[in-house]
Amino acid sequence: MAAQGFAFEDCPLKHYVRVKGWLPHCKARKRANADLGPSEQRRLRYFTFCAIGAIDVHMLNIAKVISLSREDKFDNVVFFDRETDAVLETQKRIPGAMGFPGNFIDVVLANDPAATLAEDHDYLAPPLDLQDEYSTRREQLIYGQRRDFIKAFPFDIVNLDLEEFAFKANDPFPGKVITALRKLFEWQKNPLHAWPNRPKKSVCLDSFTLMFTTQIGPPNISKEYTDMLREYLEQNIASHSDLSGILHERIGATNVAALQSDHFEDFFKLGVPKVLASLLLETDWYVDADKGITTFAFKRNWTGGEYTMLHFVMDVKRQEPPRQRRAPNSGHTAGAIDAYASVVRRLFTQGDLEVTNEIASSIELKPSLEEIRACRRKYYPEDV
Amino acid sequence: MPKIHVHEKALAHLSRGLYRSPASALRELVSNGWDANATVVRISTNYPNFYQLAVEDNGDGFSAEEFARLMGGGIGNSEKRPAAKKMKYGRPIIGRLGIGMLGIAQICGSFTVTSKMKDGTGFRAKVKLYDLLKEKLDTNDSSVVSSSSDQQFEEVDVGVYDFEEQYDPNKANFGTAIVTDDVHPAFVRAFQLSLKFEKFRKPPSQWQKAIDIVSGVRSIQELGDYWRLLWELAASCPVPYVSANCLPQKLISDEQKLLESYNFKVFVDSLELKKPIHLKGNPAGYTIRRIQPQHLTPYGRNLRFHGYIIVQEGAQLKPDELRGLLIRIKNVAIGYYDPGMLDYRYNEGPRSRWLTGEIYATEGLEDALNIDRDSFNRFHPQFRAMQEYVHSVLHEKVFPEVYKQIEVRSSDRALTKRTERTSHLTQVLSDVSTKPVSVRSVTKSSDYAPAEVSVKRESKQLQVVIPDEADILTKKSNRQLASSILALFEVAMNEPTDTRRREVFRRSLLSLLSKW
Repeated sequence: MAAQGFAFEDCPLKHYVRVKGWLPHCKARKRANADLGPSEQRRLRYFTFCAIGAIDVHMLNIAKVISLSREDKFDNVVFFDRETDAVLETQKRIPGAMGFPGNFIDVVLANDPAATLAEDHDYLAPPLDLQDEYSTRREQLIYGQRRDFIKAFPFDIVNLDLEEFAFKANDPFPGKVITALRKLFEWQKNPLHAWPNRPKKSVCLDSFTLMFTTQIGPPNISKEYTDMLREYLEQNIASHSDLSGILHERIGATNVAALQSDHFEDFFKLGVPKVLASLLLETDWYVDADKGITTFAFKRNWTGGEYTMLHFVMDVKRQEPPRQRRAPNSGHTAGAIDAYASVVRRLFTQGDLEVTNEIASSIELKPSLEEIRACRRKYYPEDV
Repeated sequence: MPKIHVHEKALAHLSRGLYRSPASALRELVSNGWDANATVVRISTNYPNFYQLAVEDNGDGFSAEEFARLMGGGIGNSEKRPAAKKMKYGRPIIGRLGIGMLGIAQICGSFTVTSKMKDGTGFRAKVKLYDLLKEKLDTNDSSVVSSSSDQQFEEVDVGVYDFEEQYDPNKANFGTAIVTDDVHPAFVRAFQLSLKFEKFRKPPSQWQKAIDIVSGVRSIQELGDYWRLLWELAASCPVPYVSANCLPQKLISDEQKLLESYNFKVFVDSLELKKPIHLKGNPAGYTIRRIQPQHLTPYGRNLRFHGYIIVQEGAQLKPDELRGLLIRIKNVAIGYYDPGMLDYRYNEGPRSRWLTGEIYATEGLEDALNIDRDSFNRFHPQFRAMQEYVHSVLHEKVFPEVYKQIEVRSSDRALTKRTERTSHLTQVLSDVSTKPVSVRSVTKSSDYAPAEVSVKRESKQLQVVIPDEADILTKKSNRQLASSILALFEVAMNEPTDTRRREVFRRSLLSLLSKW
């Protein structure tokens, strides 16, 4: 569970990840957009679980990664918050942003009665056969939100800063988070939204930046999940014989079983990005091998005890040609398979960056939290 | 004599259908913020999704006990906040906590109220209103209607509330916040659809720009429900104007000073609202009438008001919603601009679409309000007294001046046109003649002499003398044309051959008519 009452915004470790992990990737994406021809350049779209303070949004605004509209609005930012009143609080700080109240997973996985989920289905129209009751309205609103959320895709930067467990003990395997991610990566293939000078033909994203955050755990993680992680790692070692030696040299585990039993955190740190990379591959994307997946880890102490946060950052590319233009049953593209192998190897060799207070305070982080808050006050002067 | 009671059900019905628009319901919550000495009220709509709605102020807040009292039967009770309540910034008290809070029930079925007072205490409560209340009331459903213990009257419940035990006032802001938990899908849908309207424009970050946008449409409805909400709130809340110069002759500068002194701001989705009127640069100018402070005493009760009426000469006001008269009581608008001008009985045709005005009632009129605070009982003596005064101003001062201005403009226009046509005639004659042409008109020598055209060929120019229009015996509107054609005819007749005469006349006539 997330640490209730923890001052997330002030956490220097988290800010280190923002500035040293997220920001360089996002800036690179902005540069790539700036290098495009005039008709292809556009304002980047950003999806986040930014929390009330919207620190990440303002950081990207200061860095000019997300440019504001002519009306000085953050209308290219979309966010979710499970605390319904937190959405409105956040919108005060990033006016114009599209905020969704409610549980992200519930909304994404809402069981659409029409099954086909026609994008333009009018879920909010008065139903002809149901009474105007709370349960009816609730259902309408969830389906409506889901429809609107899908319409908001795709995003150039997706920041899934979940601050909770990716694998929940009570979730039926493979877990709601994994299922939701699968859908999200599918929706990332939706055509891009209109922008000035946009080419007439429908355009889809060919790449995006993905940030994913989770806690290590839970302590009672079910066997199905650990088996999944173990199988992924065993497959890798089976196909790349030298990985076993690397694993032993770097962590001291002779095999995956030993890694799981004696070095659970490392097991988790290796396994989760593998799951992400596999999910992306399955949905016709792949992790760019140039930078691979960067992992940041830090420990967080709060009244409920200590837990470890993991932040993964990666650039994601679309398999080319996309699936619909490949021969039936032809599998993934060669480029994607090579990149996948390279990314996995790198995970084994590179390890993660353990962020500590010493590291976080050893350098000046730009923009600082103070700079970001000053920028935020421009939009919400009462913010203190 | 037996006493007459009003059935509790009536009030229960009111809790679900009091206001005619979301803005009217929200305006009541803004008024609550005003009365609570708030300096800022923020309305958040979750634009562009509209799945939530919140109104919060940074005012004095109120206690859990007061909330419980309101929910336990104080809603709609005439018992107002303590009369001794100290208002800051010289504000008059609007005084209507209660039914306004439940007004949000027209938009949602449940909501959360959080309030923190200056002493640091506070509460958070979730309110859930019963579904299908009207049907249940009509069928005396026992879940909402029950008899009192003494069987004297029926008790009606409209919903339930629950205090949140884990509420920590230290983490809350001072003031009161009302946040909807489930906005009705009909509201969400309407607002979402309105963003797809052809003329919809993204709301700007400054109100002046918003005024520019609404001034570009015939009706706010072309911009959709979201803009209507912005506009209606801006028109009805006690917020300042864009500037003291937003109307000619500093018509509202005194009012502006007063409004600014109240130190009260209302934001909707980070856009600070100002009054939605800004008139300037009309080519034909403005007719202005100040309504000096009036003190009337119908049935011995004080009625004080002042205001202004302004007519944008010759040009329809945009948007339409700005047409008519708006009455404010203690700075809060009652309804919106009334295009019927308080049932004005004269038909002024298109002139009435040029007129706007505001009447500020500083004392009285409150008893003439209907319960929705959006309209008046039109036969209330105080309303009638004000109405009569305003109508006399309109009928005796404003519209006569407007008609005078119309006449001036018409005669100016006619003169300009006549000059232009004479110049055109000269040009046409010059084109068919080898010499420069001069045209002048003369009055005929006697009533019996025919109105004739003469042409004199002089060595350097052709002099055409046409009769004064008044001397040409045909329809007034055709006189200048007739005299011009006669001139063309006479000039053509000076040509040497029939063919040539016919050709010159035909050419010059067509040329004349091409720009007539």
